[in-house]
Amino acid sequence: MWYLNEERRLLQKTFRSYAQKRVRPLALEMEDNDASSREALLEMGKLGMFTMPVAESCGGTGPDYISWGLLLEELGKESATFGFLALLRQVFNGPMSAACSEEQIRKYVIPAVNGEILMGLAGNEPAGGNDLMEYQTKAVRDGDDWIINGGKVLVTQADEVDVFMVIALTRDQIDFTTMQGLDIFFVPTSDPGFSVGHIEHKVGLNGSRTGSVYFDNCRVSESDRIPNPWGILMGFGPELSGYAALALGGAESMIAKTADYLKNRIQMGRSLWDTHQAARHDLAKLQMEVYNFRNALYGHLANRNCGIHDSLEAGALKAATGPLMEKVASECMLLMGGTGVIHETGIERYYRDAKALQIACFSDKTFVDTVAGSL
Amino acid sequence: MNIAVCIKSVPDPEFYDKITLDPQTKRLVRDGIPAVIGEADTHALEAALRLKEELGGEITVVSMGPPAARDQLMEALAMGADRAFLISDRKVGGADSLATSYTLSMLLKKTGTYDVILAGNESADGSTAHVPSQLGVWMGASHAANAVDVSWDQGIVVTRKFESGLGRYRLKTPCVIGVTGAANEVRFANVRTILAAKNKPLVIYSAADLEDLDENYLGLKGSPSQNGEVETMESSKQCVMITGTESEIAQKLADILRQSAVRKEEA
Ligand SMILES: Cc1cc2nc3c(=O)[nH]c(=O)nc-3n(C[C@H](O)[C@H](O)[C@@H](O)COP(=O)(O)OP(=O)(O)OC[C@H]3O[C@@H](n4cnc5c(N)ncnc54)[C@H](O)[C@@H]3O)c2cc1C
Ligand SMILES: Cc1cc2nc3c(=O)[nH]c(=O)nc-3n(C[C@H](O)[C@H](O)[C@H](O)COP(=O)(O)OP(=O)(O)OC[C@H]3O[C@@H](n4cnc5c(N)ncnc54)[C@H](O)[C@@H]3O)c2cc1C
Repeated sequence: MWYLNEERRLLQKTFRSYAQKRVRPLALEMEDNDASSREALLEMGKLGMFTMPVAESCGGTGPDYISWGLLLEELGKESATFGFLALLRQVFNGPMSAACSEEQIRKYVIPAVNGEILMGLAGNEPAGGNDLMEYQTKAVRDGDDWIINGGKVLVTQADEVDVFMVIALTRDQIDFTTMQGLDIFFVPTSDPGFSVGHIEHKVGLNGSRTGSVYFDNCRVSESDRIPNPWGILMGFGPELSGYAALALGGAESMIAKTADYLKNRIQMGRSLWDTHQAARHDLAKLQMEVYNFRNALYGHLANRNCGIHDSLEAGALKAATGPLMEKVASECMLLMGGTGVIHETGIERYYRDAKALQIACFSDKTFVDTVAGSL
Repeated sequence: MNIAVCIKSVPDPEFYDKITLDPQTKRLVRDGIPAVIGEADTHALEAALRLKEELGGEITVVSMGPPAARDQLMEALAMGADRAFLISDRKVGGADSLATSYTLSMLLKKTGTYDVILAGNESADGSTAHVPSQLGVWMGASHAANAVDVSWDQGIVVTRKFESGLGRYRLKTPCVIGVTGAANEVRFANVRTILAAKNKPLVIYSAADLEDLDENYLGLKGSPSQNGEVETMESSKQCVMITGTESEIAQKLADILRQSAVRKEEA
């Protein structure tokens, strides 16, 4: 592969081994019991797996987006949910160096990179992911502190996070010319005013513990207000290409499982693989899509290594994630017959995860609209 | 503490079904089979990393093998070893365990003085389990094989496994220890350590670089053990229907099992 070198091969080997030994045994537990991945995620941090591609000033190892893609691809092979949760670490950490104060980096970002704490984003409100003006969560100044009241819905790892970045209105109106009126605060979940509401039952991404969180007179200091909140909100964009790496890994593992099944499923003395050209070709066509997808992804990540961060391209990759995963899962289930639809085979869950991935971190349709706006 | 670890580059176990034996040379045909660090050697390296964490010092990894074995040394550096040496030369190729342990001992003497030398207890391919003890003899050092635990308690303490139980030994340094897979759980490499690996020294020597090598103990020519005849096992599947009453079926099944447990030449 053109994007691999000795160092990345070594990283890839470690990521693969981690995914197989730690994530594989956890995947069904997460799926069936919404079981927590917190310990494994913290362990990954301690192993330095969240240092890529984080700025060195934030405790990272610098911008190698390709190695980051390799990590998510390997995790995606075992569990889209786990991969998604690992991806969020970077979605959060990526824009931090440009948005946070040195104190915040020391207090929150570096510990998050090192796997000492888990950080989350409490942004979305019943009003909708995009309608910031209608947000009900408000922060009011009180001396050197801020008092936060409100609630958020559909928050990932609602009951597993140590510190939330909370989006709150600090004026009656957001002034979109000066960008004032909207702020982001670091709020530790140990705050007595913080509580967790209902954990949702979702169609996919089980184990990500999506739920509601509430802030009832949570008190944080002025130093917990992120100086450049728009740097965070705008900075998320390019990080979303990581979704494509999850889908790539998922698609690769589903195709490998299906090929294995067809080659070893003997009927009337011959394998399905040998007897049915149609099945072989159906699978080969999926593999060809995977080749193209892989090149598009790593090409994009190589560009990012050169300092080109194209949010439109990243959005396009994010929007391609769900459809690829859904299509490959659908075809592979069909090619594997009854075995394909059995839960433990581990393919049908990608079919469901695909749908949830299309909505998490902004609905895919939003990216279509953004691209339309650029034409 | 100065620690050395012997690392052998062996075929990836995931590809074992693809490995064949060359009927002429009796050597394994490894073309196209990726190599990895032998499983037991990863435990030896882990034991070394733990000793270093406790006592400080430096970890040197050594290997004898083809030039490509450099990749496995690189992997050991990525795991946390500090420097690496490979001896790679046609002259040392085809070595049996005696010639291997001799060459490794000379490589170790060339590269430093070590308090503890750790090796896998047995390699994943040749599996003679000779090398650690032989190395102990060549180095004039105390040595222990079958270690299921290596620790430090004012000195090196090794727990060895026997058929009848366990035995604990204090070893005088320098010492050589054959470490088994039971000794520890091998860590995942840390990303920061992996990224640091390329800046660590990795030296490849030829036979000429090692002074005073005794040609009588080198490579195929210096190997008293030469491979004998090897046979490829034939295996096939056959389905036999057993009929009769329950106890007749049980009896017939027992007979079949008993027969199949007897080797051909004994039958
Ligand atoms: C099927 C088969 C049978 C064999 N039978 C014999 C035999 O009966 N007698 C004989 O003398 N040889 C035999 N050999 C050859 C012998 O296995 C190897 O060629 C020899 O180089 C090392 O022995 P080992 O792999 O068995 O080592 P072991 O003694 O099993 O290895 C123990 C440890 O020593 C270290 N070590 C071993 N080799 C190296 C190396 N090259 N570089 C660094 N560290 C190393 C590793 O830490 C390893 O885990 C056989 C080989 C094969 C493939
Ligand atoms: C699994 C999962 C995890 C999540 N995790 C988090 C989290 O950790 N933190 C957090 O803050 N939020 C999280 N969210 C919330 C997520 O960001 C929102 O669900 C998402 O932004 C969509 O907002 P909405 O649900 O209010 O849909 P709505 O805003 O009601 O949109 C409904 C639909 O309308 C269409 N639409 C809306 N806006 C546009 C537009 N601009 N252009 C074109 N079409 C549009 C789309 O089809 C969209 O799907 C998560 C959601 C899911 C599903």
